[in-house]
Amino acid sequence: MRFTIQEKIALIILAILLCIGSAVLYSKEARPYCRIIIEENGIREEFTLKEIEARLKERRKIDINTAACKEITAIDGIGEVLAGRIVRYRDTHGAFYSEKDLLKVEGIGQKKFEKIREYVRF
Amino acid sequence: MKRPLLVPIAGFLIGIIAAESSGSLGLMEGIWITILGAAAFLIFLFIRKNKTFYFFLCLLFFLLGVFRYSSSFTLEENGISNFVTEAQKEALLFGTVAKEPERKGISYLSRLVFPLEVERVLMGDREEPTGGLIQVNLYKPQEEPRIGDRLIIGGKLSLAEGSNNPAGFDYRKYLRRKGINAVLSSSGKDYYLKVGEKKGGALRIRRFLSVLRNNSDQAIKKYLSPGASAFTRSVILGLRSDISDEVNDTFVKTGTMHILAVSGLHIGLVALIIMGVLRFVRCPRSFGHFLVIIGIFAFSIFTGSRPSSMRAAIMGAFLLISMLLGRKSDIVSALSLSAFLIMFFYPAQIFDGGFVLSYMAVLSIIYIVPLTDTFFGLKPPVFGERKTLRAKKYLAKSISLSLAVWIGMMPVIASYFRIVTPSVVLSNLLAVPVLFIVVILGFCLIVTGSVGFLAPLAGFIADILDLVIPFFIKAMQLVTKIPFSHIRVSAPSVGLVVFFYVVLIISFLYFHKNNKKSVLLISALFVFNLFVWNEAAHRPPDSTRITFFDTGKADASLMEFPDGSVMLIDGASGGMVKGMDAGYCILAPYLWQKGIRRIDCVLLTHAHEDHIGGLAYILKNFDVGTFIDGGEVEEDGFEKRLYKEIQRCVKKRNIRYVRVKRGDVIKGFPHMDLFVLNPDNKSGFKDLNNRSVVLKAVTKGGNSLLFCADAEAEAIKEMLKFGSFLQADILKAPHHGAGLGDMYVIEEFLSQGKYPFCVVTNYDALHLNKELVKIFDREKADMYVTGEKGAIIAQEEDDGFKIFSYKKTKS
Repeated sequence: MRFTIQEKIALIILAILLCIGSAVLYSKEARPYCRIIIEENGIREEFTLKEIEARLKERRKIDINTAACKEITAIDGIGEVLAGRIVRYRDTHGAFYSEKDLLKVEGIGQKKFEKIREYVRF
Repeated sequence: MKRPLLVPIAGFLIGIIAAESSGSLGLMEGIWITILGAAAFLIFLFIRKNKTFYFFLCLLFFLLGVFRYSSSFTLEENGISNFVTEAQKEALLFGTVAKEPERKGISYLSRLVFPLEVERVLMGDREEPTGGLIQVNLYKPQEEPRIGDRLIIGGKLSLAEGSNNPAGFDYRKYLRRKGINAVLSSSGKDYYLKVGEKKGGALRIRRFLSVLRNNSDQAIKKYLSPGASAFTRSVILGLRSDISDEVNDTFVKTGTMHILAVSGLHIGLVALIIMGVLRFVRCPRSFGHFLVIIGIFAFSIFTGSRPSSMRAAIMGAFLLISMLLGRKSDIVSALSLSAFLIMFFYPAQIFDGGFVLSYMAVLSIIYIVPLTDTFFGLKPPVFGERKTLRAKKYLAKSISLSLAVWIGMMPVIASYFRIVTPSVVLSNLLAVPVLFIVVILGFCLIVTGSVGFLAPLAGFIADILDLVIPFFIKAMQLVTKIPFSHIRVSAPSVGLVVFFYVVLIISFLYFHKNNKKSVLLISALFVFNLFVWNEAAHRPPDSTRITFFDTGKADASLMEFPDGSVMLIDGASGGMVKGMDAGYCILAPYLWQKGIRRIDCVLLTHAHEDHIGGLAYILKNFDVGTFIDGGEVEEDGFEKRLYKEIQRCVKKRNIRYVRVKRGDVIKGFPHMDLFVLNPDNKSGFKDLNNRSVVLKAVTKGGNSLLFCADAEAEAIKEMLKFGSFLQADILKAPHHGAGLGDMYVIEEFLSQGKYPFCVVTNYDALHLNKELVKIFDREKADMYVTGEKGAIIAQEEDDGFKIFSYKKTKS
């Protein structure tokens, strides 16, 4: 094949461009991977399991002033009847402000009270 | 004027393209393309006589094209598209089965797929007449419908899945181009009643051909080994369901997909075979041509009336008709007439991948082969030559043909498959003759296998096929191992593709004038430059970008950093069924589209199918630096098999393996550190979910994300020990927002963390645990469900993360 001078120039420029482009691509492919290092014990524990359990226990407490009848029956020791009485007391006498108010409900004596107090929040 | 028809047809084509562009790309792009098209044509007309007449004819057809395209999309009054939304709704439909059902999918996804021409629809309490085409997916059918059956069928009706992820396949658009506007998901438990059959001679022919197809299928399955049978069924009957993923991938990588699927090549071969047989029995030419036309249409219907084969049949029919009528058979006119026919009835088809590939292939053969022939200095064979010289010429011509088709199709294949396959030049040399052999022998097998006393002959033919086909597939697999046999690329933009073809056309015209080979070399170099620089121009994002892919109820998150490094956390589901592998369908296309071929680190949170499924494909098709996991796997089940396959891959490809536990910090990325909050070997949780790797990712800019994998309440309770460290800007909700166990623990977790944004990888809000949604509401956290919003993308900015969803939700 015989090329004119213009054609030779065009061919050379294109060939050089192709080489540069391929080199750029190759450098991307040959880039080394990030060197992953594992450091141990890098996180500090803020709470102990005991503290967490305590928090969770507090969360599990039932708010005696806003809970529905069904939720109150979830407490071990309070059945449907007693729960119903608690709600009725609440409706007629208003909110329970302290533990002593609970004792006023018919069916909750000192013994029952001791049993349920840790599950109840005011 | 040599080909007067071309002018109006080209105008029509440009009209359709302009209409589509102004709809999807924007009015500006539409105007540009129109101007370009008009300019091109003005130049073309400059060298012809009768300019004015042709100019106005062209303009007229251009407007017709725009009008035809727009009208095809106007929702017909009460068309079925008016009744569908993105959400699935219960519906009862009455209509006619438009095509013979095909079986797709395996195991629990096995279903019959068929289009239904609907006439009436019952939704809620509205019953109305309607029209249009829907696709029905019938799972566990009690009865198998046949083409022409009139049915009442119930199920869940909705729009097809659009594209939910960047670079994801838009199934909804794909179906709409075929005229299908909705999808019905029906199972054996839903209402199904056949109320009659459509009458008609055409129907009887189609039914007959489908019975023939089933019998042929039985014969093939009976005589051939599984591998050979899968290939033969696909090539001769158009039934591709048995082809394994690996085989399919092999054909994609060697550029020989047109061998596997019934395409123009098959139609051409069948036509040649019929013509050969007819010549042998000395059939008169005209009558013979007529028989061939019938033959190729019958074959097209026989293999399932696929658009690609119907197109080829129409093209061939036009050619043969012009030969029948005595006119000089001009391939280009036949081509354009067939294209016009299709464009007129289905304007949206011209954007279908198959359509573009078919026509580009034929155009390449017509126009580029002369270029490559001249480049190699090939002269036609001379009578009386030595056999070896003839053979060499034949080989050279084949290479020239293969090369021409590769060059002509390269931008289109790159667009649709994100791959460039130089090896096709080599693989076609073997593939086409093998196809010829398989088609001939395959039909012989069907005939001899169905006739009792010819059974021994059938056995003999089956033995040959059992030898040839596995050898061929092995050879193709060997070709894929050649370096640079296939190169993954990002799909070139429309502008680039058009520019490529403009350069090709200019060099073709210039070559015709001056007949100089140097032109070819210059344009070839120019075009290669285009591709190389298009790939080299990919840049990593300006700031850290995290993409949470929408993969249903499965996890896959990708982190792209400004220095070009990349990390993948989990690979969603897949591997069991072709077309459902998230690695193949969602992750790989995205990575290739961004020019990413190396992944610095792949992390597996736990070996459950919805996290590990897509990783096998990723590990095999990408270069991975490090593989990290917690080291645990369930003892039984196929998930252990998947895990072992990954371990084998890690060993074979020399990927560095690292195991992490609670307290570890993954360092090495310039822009991010990852803290491992779970698992702890001492915990002893039974459920693998509670042994998932939970990560807190902290960028050097101080922004953070918490990837909770599938951790449930037990594991989360232990993580509460880290107190305020659990805070992050983005939370990836644990266990896809589904059942978690002790909700008090979760409440504590969320109130401690105070996450402003929360990403949930699930189908939609209805699938989430209701209590969890209530808690999120209470804590005022913003929830993004990938199933509803599509992929969620978080881009780090100066003041924190900016969150985008890929799908803009419409009500």
